Amino acid sequence: MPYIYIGRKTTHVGKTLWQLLGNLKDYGVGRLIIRGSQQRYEEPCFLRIARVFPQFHEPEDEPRKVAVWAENVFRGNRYPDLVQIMRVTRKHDFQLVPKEDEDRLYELAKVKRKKPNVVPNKRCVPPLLKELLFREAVAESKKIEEPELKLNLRKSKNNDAREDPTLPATEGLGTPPVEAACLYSNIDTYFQARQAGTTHPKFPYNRSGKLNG
Amino acid sequence: MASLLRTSLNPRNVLRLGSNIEPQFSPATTPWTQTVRWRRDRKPMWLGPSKSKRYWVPPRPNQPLEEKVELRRLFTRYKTEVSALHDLIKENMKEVQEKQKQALQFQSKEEEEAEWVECMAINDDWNAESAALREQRIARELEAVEERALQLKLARDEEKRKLAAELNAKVRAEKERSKTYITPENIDEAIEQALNTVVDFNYSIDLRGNKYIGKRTKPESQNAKRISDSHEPIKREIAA
Repeated sequence: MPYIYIGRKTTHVGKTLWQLLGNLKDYGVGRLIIRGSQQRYEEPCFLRIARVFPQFHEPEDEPRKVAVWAENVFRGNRYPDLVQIMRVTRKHDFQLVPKEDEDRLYELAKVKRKKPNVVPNKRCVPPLLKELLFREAVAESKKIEEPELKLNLRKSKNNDAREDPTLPATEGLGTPPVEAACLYSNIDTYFQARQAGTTHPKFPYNRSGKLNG
Repeated sequence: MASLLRTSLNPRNVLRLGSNIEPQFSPATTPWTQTVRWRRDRKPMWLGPSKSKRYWVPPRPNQPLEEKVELRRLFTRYKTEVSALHDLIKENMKEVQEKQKQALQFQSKEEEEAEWVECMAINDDWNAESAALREQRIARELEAVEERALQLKLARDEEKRKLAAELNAKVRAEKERSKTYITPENIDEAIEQALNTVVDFNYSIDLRGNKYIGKRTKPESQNAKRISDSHEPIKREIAA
């Protein structure tokens, strides 16, 4: 009889961590584990098991948990300290890496590594607010300066972004990345066609929003 | 920026805004609101999906990569700018508040102290005035209390005197009655007298209302006596 899956699909792929480690010699210390939900990244993400502490199986109708200390490699970057995972070990999301594939994964981590996100620390002030600040400076006979919005950089454990004060302040919507450049490819021709009073073949609507022809 | 804040924080503007909105339920007067998913008119969550939707799997959104990347970039950019604007407005607000605080501090320290001394003198005058009034009032009240106490004392004395007179009268009457008491000395006489005087309390009445004293007295006897002689006649119709 075929299985019928009900509900939404999950991104989890694999077994619980105890299902893997409980069957291995010395609880699999030294082995590599990958998580199914992290395979969406290009860079390799894996854990190297350092210490394992089995836990009581309670309540028994839920997946068994296990406390694990492991070296963490996330998106090619190795964390300096060991990480402890305990709660998430109940998820069916862990896969054991075969011993012959371990060297390949380490090599991949050396080559593919996520670069830190370099961001500017300022942004142009919106035009209306800019005008307001300008008028206020004139009214109070202050020195008129080019106003800037200071951006806040969020600092957290997993945020590797750093700010670069040499980057210029940008205005409006900014420039799209290379992957999304195709979204704006026809936009100039579209506006030219509208100004000329004709329609672009990809946008067959006239100025009043009705379909041509 | 400061002028914008001043305009928005002007109480006249706030009042004008508030007059158009229902005061009890307006978002301006509500301290905070929170949206919860469980509070709604539907069947409880633990009953699960209905039978018609049991095997229905909602389709995953199929978003092109370029669109996903671009929307994410625009959204994060927007959020960053708004939070930065929020901070800028906060800073300007601080400046405005500082200015307001400075505007309120218009006196020097010496002036403030002199004003304090003056205020204290006025306060002392007021205190003396009210103290005199208070003493007068207390004296007046004391007088009234004394007057009332005197009245109460007089009333109580009068009552006592009345009670003593009543008791005296009772004692005097009892002394008067004690002359006819039966004592061991005259008890024999009293017994003899009681035995000698036989009293018959029985009587009978005929249809005409005549009263005959004595248990065996006949109507013809001389002892017959009409009730009407001593009492009111019996108001009763005689049968024909």
